[in-house]
Amino acid sequence: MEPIHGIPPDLIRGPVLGPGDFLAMAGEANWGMDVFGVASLRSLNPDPITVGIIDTGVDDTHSVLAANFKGAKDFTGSSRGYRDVNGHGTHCSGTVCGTDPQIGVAAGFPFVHGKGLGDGGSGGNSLIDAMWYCIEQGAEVLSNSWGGGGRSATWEAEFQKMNDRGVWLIFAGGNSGPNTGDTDWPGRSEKLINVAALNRDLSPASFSSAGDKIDTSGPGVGIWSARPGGGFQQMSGTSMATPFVAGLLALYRACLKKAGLPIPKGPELRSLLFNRSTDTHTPGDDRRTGPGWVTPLLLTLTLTPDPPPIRG
Amino acid sequence: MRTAILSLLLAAGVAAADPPPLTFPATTVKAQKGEFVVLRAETPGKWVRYKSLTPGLSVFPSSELKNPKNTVVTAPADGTYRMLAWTGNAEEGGDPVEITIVVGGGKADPDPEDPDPKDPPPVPTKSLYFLVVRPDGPASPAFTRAMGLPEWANLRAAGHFVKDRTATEAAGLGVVVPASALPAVVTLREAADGKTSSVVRPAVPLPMTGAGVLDLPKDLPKDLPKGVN
Repeated sequence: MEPIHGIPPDLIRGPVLGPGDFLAMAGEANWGMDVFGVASLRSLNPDPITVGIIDTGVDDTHSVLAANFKGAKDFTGSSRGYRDVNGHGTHCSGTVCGTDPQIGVAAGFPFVHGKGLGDGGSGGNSLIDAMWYCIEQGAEVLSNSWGGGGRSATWEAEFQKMNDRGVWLIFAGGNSGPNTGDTDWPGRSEKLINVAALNRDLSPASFSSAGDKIDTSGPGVGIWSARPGGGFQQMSGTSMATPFVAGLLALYRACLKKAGLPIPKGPELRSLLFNRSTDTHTPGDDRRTGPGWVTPLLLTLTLTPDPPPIRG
Repeated sequence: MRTAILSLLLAAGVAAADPPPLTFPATTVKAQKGEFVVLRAETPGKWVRYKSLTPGLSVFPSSELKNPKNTVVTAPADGTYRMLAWTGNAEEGGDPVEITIVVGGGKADPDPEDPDPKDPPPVPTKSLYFLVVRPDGPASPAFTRAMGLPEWANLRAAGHFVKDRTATEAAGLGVVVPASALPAVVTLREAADGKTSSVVRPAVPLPMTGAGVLDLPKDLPKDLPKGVN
């Protein structure tokens, strides 16, 4: 039986706003932009790279997604094709790269969307097919706000192939709270980047799953992003923290390319995130936030050339 | 009253349609490989943007400089590098000014004589590496706050490098700082051959204030041999 994967069941949905209401909350759309300091990477003006979102489909006519939409494909057999009737996929897509810099972290980066979660929010091998679709369309960073089900050796092999291609795979850790034995699979796979969710004060979100292998944390509570049909809605979950981290890493990867620096692969990327996070919650690598929150300022400092070796 | 308002709007319209002038002390600048060259724009425009036309020329983001109308450029190899600068008051800019950076033996296109020889291109500061070394693993919140001080941008604008390295990473570069002294700043200078560097000041505590950051390039002792850190 193929694994069943879906949106974590306790995803919290908040209020909804129409397009005209949105301007009133300028600066509040995604508090992570300011709290994390995304501007330090944006100011380096990297050339955009393509990003991929694997989710419930996308509203490619939305005001913050239409201009940089590059393509999408449905792998679930939905009667609506790749279009999003759930809302989760459009929200996550907006956070990764919506053209409004209050909404999208890698604002305006071109994106492709693989609909691997059905309209009800679950999927199976369709998710792997959707990931490969995005990679074949040129995506270099994949945002995966899904998890659950048991470990699959077949899927692990697929993730390894994707790692070998140099693609960065970002996953949600799950929304089962602090008393769980571990975070969701596949996020806890050693081949992937597993993301926990934070409150605005950088404390762990109450719903964010605990586990031994959390690679970094992102803003996951009260996040505004795009809503199918227009307007915006607020959601909370590790599903929201994941596209934030994916967008941030897309910005960083684009900066590495601009600087002519090598692109780290799977384990190297995990090590880099470990050392370029800022500690929060329990000191050190803890079970709620991992090493802490991924810090754009520290990522920018890796772009400075090393001095030549000390004279012997 | 209505007439006055209409006049103001018209004036704004004329200003938007007539971008401000943009000049530089020189439009051809000579530099050495790896040298940091400060380009100082002279314009009443609200902003100045820069674009490299030649691959290999790095253009520092102006928004991080104290005067965001200026920029700093550098190139890792000899050659002639072209770039454009333009200014404006609104979103739309005026005609670009072309600037040529001649690095090392690169051949520059003939350029008119500098009309004001008393105002030559600025001479950049010799680069230092401020290697910030901290314990392995995630950074502490206090460390990240210290590295977020805006005064670090002043050092970069002067042509220096600021590099964050964990203790293990720094050891790989030949810089060893006792754990009890972390976080610390070790100051290095590249040797003339460009292949090695030397410690010009051993580890000092990481400054936690802007004034402390600005003091880092001051009163540097002479080169110290390896291991004196």
